Amino acid sequence: MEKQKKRCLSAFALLLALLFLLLAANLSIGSIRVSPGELLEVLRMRGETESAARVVWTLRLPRLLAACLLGGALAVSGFLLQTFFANPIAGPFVLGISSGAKLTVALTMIAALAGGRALSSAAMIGAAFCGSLIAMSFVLLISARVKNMSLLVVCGVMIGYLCSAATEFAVTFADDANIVNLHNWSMGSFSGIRWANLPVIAGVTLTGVLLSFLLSKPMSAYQLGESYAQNMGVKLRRFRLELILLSSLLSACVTAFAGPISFVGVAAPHLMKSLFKTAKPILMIPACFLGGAGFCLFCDLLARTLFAPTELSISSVTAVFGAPIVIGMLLQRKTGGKP
Amino acid sequence: MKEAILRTEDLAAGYGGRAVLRDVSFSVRPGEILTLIGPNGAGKSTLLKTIARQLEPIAGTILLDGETLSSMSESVLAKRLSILTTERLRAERMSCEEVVATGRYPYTGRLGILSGHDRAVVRETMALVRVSELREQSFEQISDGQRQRVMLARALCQEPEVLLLDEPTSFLDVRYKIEFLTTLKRLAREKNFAVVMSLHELDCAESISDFVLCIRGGAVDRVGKPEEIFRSAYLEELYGMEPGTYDAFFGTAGDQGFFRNQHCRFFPCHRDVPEREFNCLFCYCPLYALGDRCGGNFRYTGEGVKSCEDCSFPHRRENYEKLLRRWPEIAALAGRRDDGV
Repeated sequence: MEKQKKRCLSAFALLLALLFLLLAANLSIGSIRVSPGELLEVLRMRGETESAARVVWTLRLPRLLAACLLGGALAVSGFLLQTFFANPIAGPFVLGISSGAKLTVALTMIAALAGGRALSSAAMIGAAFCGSLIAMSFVLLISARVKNMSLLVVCGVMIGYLCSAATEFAVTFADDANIVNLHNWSMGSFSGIRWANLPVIAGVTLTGVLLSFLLSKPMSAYQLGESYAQNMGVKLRRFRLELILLSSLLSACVTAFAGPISFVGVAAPHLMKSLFKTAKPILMIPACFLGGAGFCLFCDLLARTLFAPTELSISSVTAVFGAPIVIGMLLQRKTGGKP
Repeated sequence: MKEAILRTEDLAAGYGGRAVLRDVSFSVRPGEILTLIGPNGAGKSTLLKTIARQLEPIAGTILLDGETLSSMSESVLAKRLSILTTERLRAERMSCEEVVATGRYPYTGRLGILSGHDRAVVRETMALVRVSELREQSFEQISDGQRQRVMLARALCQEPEVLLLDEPTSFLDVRYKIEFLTTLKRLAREKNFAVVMSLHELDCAESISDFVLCIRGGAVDRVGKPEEIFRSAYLEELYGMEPGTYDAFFGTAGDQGFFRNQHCRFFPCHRDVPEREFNCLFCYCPLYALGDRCGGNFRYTGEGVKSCEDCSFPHRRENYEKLLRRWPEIAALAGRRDDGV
């Protein structure tokens, strides 16, 4: 127990240090380089400085804060789904839930733009939440029929493709002027986020994560198996509903603002479980939040800078790092390695 | 005489409103062990699930210390009744001590953090069940026998008044079976909790039980002390055997993981057994208790008996003999994770 406590403390310290480094790097690296001294100046002046440094305040800072919050939310959402399906490769992107949200957001956006109105942040989240829940109910319907988890994941991927195809279709016929914007978003990017979006993002993700954290006790019982959880006094029906709603809300918030982002929901929890050597929700939920935040900051940094001034979609960068991790997990299970 | 802690009155149990088992009335006192025996699909697990409140009773009542079970809140019930089922416990990256500590769940606060007292109970229970040396070991990596004992410690950490066990000795070899059941009996006496469990090993049932309840044909066929059930022509009658065959198989059955009736007219190869006779205890499918996880396709007969159609393991009737030979391998396979991928 003592050893474990030490391990957790040092793991959290490591995570926080990494996160801090990544935050600093994300602020200073880019088309305009800003030295640490200048950074402090910019932060103190709140963007009231000369034009070069304004970039940091008006573009980079909201973007990296969003990357942190949304990355964290995505990882927690993945962890909740993994608990629900008792499968470490479940995640909002893999199961097609992100794509469901993408479809409804795209449709709502197109409708709103056609009517000449801009969508509010809350409306975007609402639309995404509906899409998540629709895709989720498909996944649940399938999971009631097929007990095999690999098959369920394949079905999830197919749902994802269907939704993506429908989104592409809608985007193709959307108004020309808005296509560029919509196209960027549907590939996944943190670039569109401004200060005005942040209060809503922070409100939704932090509430979602906090509520998830409060569920960590029944979650730890549920991890053992349904009948054990029931025997320990967990109200199964209600608990399952809470898990589904929370994970959908979190991933919906991500999709609403940054589009679908692949593999973070699977890779980050896996890395955290390996780092902490435990799957206890009470540790994993904060750890996944920090880990997902770090993962997204790192990937967004690469997306922005690797081929600057051309920007990569965030999803392609997260896939480069996340997909190998998922493949590794699959192989490990297949060869009967430690599950 | 002590008062009964668990009592059922005219209980009917089943799925989806259809009763598999009717008119079950029994009572157990603290410190006593009641064992359910009967053929495959007779409804032993269904009865246990109903008492654990995983299934709604179709009729009748279950009383825990005089109080109806259905009126209790989940959290109160969790402190009074614990289970050890055939459902495989998932323990991702958990040490044995952590698995045992989950039994303290009903006693912890909002976030499930263990108090000093909880930790003391965990340590004490692990010592009682003699698994203290496994504390730091990963639950996924210990032997089947150790795993069942850790699971027993987990269930006892809930400090139950009633402990329900569904086929707790499936997949244990003979040595572990005896060790497990002896520990259970000792603790039931020491800690004064009542035990209701299903067993398919008749010899074990005889030596461990205070009372035996025989289930046949959707009802309780007989309840009594083991000596009344086992030292009579009753078993022969229960399973429709010729008089005099009982003693012959009784002595040797212990060296198999399950019973076989050497005097069965279909022994050893169970080819040609008519389906309606396939629910004899001696045709016990060792994978039966795994339910959906047995790996093969099956359907339920009109009597609710699981009947194999095709099987990933050779335990079709015509392959019964092969199954006996492959037993250790199958037991190992059954220990694998079941969720594919």
